[in-house]
Amino acid sequence: MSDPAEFTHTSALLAQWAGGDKRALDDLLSHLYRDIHAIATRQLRSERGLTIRPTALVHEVYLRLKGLNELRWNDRAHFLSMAARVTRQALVDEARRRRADKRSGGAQVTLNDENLGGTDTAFDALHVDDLLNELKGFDEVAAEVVSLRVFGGLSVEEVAEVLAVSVATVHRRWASGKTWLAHELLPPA
Amino acid sequence: MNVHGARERAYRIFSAALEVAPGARADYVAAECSTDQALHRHVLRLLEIAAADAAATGDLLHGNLVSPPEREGTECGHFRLRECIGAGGMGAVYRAERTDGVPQAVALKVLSGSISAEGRARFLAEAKFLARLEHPAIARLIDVGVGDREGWIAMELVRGVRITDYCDAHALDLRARLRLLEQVIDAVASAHRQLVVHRDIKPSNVLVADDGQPKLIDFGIAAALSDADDDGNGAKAAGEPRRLFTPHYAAPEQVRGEPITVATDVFGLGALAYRLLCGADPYGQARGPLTYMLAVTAGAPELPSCAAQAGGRDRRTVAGLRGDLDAIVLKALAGDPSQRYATAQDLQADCRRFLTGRPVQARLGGAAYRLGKFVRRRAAALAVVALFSAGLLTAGVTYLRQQRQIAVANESAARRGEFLERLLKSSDPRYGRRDITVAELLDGAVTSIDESLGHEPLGEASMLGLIADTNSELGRYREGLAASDRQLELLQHHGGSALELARALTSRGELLRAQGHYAEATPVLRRALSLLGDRPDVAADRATALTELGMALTNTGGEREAEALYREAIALDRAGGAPQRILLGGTLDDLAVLLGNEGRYLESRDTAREAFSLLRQALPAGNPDLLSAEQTYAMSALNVHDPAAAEPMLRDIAQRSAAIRGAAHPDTLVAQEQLGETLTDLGRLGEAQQILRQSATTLEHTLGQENRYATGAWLGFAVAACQGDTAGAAPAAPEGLAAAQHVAAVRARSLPAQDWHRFAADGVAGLCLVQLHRYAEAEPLLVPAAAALESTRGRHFYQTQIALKALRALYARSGRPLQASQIATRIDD
Repeated sequence: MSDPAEFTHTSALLAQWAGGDKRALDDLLSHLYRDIHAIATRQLRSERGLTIRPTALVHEVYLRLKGLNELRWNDRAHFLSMAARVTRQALVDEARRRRADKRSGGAQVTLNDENLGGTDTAFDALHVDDLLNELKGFDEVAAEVVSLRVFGGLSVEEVAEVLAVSVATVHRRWASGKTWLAHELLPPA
Repeated sequence: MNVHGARERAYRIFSAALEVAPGARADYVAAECSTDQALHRHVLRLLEIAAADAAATGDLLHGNLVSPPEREGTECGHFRLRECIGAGGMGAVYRAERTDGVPQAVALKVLSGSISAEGRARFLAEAKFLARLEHPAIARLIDVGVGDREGWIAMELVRGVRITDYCDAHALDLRARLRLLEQVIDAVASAHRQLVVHRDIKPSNVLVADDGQPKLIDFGIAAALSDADDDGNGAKAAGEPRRLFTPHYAAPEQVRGEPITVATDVFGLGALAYRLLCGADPYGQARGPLTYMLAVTAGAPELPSCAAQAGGRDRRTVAGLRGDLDAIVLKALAGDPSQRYATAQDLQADCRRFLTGRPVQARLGGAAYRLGKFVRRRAAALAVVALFSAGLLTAGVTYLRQQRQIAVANESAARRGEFLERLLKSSDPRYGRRDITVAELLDGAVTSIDESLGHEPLGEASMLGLIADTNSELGRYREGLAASDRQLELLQHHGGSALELARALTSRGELLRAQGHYAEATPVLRRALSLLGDRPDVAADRATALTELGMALTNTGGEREAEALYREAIALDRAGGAPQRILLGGTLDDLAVLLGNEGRYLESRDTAREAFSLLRQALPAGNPDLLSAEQTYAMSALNVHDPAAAEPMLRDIAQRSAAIRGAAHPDTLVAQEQLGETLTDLGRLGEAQQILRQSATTLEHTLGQENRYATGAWLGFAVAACQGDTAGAAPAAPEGLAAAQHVAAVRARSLPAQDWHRFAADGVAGLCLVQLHRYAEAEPLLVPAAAALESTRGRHFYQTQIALKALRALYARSGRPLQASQIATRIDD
C-alpha cells in the first residue's frame, strides 16, 4: 500500500472478487499478504519483546482497506476469514525467517489472543501453527474454528457463516479445539 | 506416531464427553478409557481446562459446564453436593440435598477462598438479613455457613432457564417480554424497600421457572461477600465496597468504584431490559472489561430501536421500541445516577404506563439530559474557540475538530488500556479478577511496574510513558503528569536515548497543551525538537512534535511561527510516503484552518482540498477526521466565493451529521447553517431562508440566546431575508431586520464594546435597513461597522464585505455616486 495506484488496484481487486471473480482472489491474497507481513514485521521491529495480537493486526488491515474506496464492503466475515489465513501464514513465515536469521538472535514471533480463554502468556507462532495442523488431522472443523477466531478475530456467528455450519456447532468445536490447544500450550498443572 | 495417536484418542473422547450430560460425563470417560490410566488423566485434564475456561469466559453453552469431579457426592455443611449446575467468579453452584433427613433440594454455592473471622461474622449477619427477603420473583436464601476453608450459601433451587433463553425459546413479543421484566422490577423494588440492593442484575441471575415465574437469584450476595471479604479492619466495609461487576450490565458508578445505591440496580434493570427488548447488550461492541469500562463511562448506548434494527430484528419489534421504550430504557441507563429513575418503582410505573398506553415520563427528561451534557462539553470547547478569535464559520470547524479529537483519544485509550490490562494480569495475580476500574488499573500499574520492572529502569520508563498517555486521554492530567515526571526522571538518570527523551517530552507537551497550559507546553516541545534534530530516521516523531508545538502556538498568538512549523511537519510527512498519509492529512487540515482564520482564503482552500483528498483515500467513509476535513474544505471553498463547490459538500455533511448525530444535534445545525449561507450566495434565497430560520431557532433553543452559533445563524438568516430577488423585491426584509436587531441587542449586552461580533451584527442590521430604504438609520450603523471590521478582521473578511456592500448601495441609492465609487474599490468582486 505504498502509492495511490496500488490503492486503486487493490480496491479494483476487491470489487472483482466481491463480484464473483475467483481469480481476483489470488491477487488479492498476495496483496493482503504483503500488507499484513509489512505491518507485522514493523510491529515486531519497533517493539522488541512485544507480542503480536493477530486480531488487532487484521482489524488494522481491514480498516485500511475499507478506507481505500467507496466500495460497500458488506462481506466482513469472508474478508476476515481470508485475512485470518493470510495473517497466520505471514506470522509463520516471519517466525521461520527469524529462526534462520542469526542476527535477530533467533527471536520468537509470539502471539497473544483474548480468545485463547483466560491465558495471559504469549505463544510461539510456529508452535501454535504446528498444533493447529495436528488438530486438523483429527478435527478439521475445530482447527478451522480456532484458526479463524485466533488469527482473524471472527465472532462465533461469523465463523458459522464462513464455514456454513450452525452456531451451536461452532460453539462446541470452539470449546473443544480451544481446550485442546490450551492443554498443549499451557505448562502442565 | 504413537504419541500422536494417543493425543488424538484423548481429544476424541474429550470432545464426545462434552456432548454427554454433565452428570454422566465421569462414567462415560471412565468407560471409554477403560484401563488406560494415562489416557484417563489426559481426558480429565482436558475437561478441567474446559470447565475453568467456561467459568472464566462463560462462553460455553449453558448446561455444558463440567464440574470438578471430586466435589460431586461430597458434603458441605448439612448438604450433600449432587451435580454441578453452574460456575461463576465466586465459586461453583451445585444441586444439593439436605443430609439431616429433611427432603429439600437446594442450589448450593460453594465459595472458594478463606474468610477472616470478622469477615465471617459479618457475612453471617448479612445473610440473616437477606433471608428475610420474601417475593415470588426472588429465589429465597435458605441457609449459609462458613468454615475455615470455604463458605457456602444455600438458595431455593430454581428449575428454569435464563430469562433471555426463555424469551427466545417462547418467541415472546415485546409486550410479553416487558410484562416478564415488570415482575423482575417489582421484585427489585420490594427488596429496595427492605434496604437490600442486588448490584449484579444480569440475564444469568434472572431465571424463569417452567411455570413462567421469573426468579432473581444471588440477591444481595455480592454485597454480603464484599463485606466478608476485607481483612477485618473495617475500612473497606465502612466506605468502599469491593468492586464486582459484569461487563454490559454494570453501572458507570460501579465501574468507577463509587458508592452503590438503588440507582445501580435501576441501571442493571435497564441493561437487562435493553438485552431482552432489542436482543443486544448495551455497549455490545465493547469486548472485555476494560473496553466496557471506557464505553460505559464515556457516553450513552445506542438507541435500543437502532440496536434492534442493526441486529436484524423484525420491523414490528423495531417500530415497537422506537419512541417510548427507547426513552424508558435509556433513562434507566443514564450515566449519571441522578438522571435515572429515582427508584425501581418509578421505572416500573413507566413500564406500566407504556403497557396501558399512557404517556411515559421518560421522554422529556431523557432529551433534556442529553442536551445538558452536550452544552457542558461544548462550553469547554468554546473556551478554546474564543482564543482563536476566529471567524464565526471557521470557529464551527474548530469545534468539530475538538469533538473528533475526543473520539480518537477514546479509541486509542481503549487500545492502550487493553495492553495495560494484559500486562497487569500477567504480572500481578490480584488483577486476575474482573472488577477493576480504569483509575485503579492505572494507579495499580504504577505500583506494579515498580515491582516487576524495578530493576529495569528504562523498561519502567517506557511503561510510564504509556500510562502518562493513557491518563492524558482519559482527562486525568494530574496523574498523567505525575507519570510523565517519573518517566523523564528515569530517562535522565539511567541514560535514556535522545529519542526516548524526545518522545517523552512530546507526550508531556501534548499533556500540557490538552490542559490549556500552552505557555508551559511550548518550551517542552521545543526541547523535544532540539533533541530530535533533523535525523531522517525520526522524521515522523519530529513531524508530530512540530504539529503539537504549532497547535500550542496558535493558542497563544503565535500563528506565524505555527504556520512555519506546520509547513515543516507537512514536508516531513510528505517525504515519509504512504504510512504518514493520515498524519499529513491531519496537519494539512490544521494548516487550512489557520490560514482561513488569517483570511488567506485561497491558500486555505488549496490546503484543505489536499487534506480532504488525502484523507478520503486513507479513511473509511463516516470517519470523524474525514468529515471534519470535508467541512474545512467546504468552508474554504465558500470563503473564496465558490459556493457552487461548497454546496453539495455541505449538503452531504449536513445529511450525514443528521444521520449520525441526529437532526437536532448542534453540529448538524451548524452544518445546516453553513449550507444556508452557501445557498444565499448561490441566490437560492427561499431555500436559504427556510434552512437558516430553522437552524437559528433550534440553535437558540438548544444553546441559548447568547450563543455565537445561534446569533450567527440569525445573522445568516437576516442576510438571506433582505436580499432582493431579480425583480428587486425582498418580502422577508422586515423579518430579517428584526433578526439582525435582535442579535445586535443580544451581543450589545453580552460582549465588550469593541468586539467585532457586535460590528458584524450592526453591519447586517444596516444592510437590512438599506434594503428597506431606511438610509438615515442605516448610515450611522454601517460607517463605524465597516471601518471596525476592516481594521480588525481585514478587508476580505466575509462580514467586512457585507458592511461595505451595504454602504455602497446606500450611497448609490441616496444620490452620492462619488462616495459609492470610493467604497466600490474596497469591495472584492
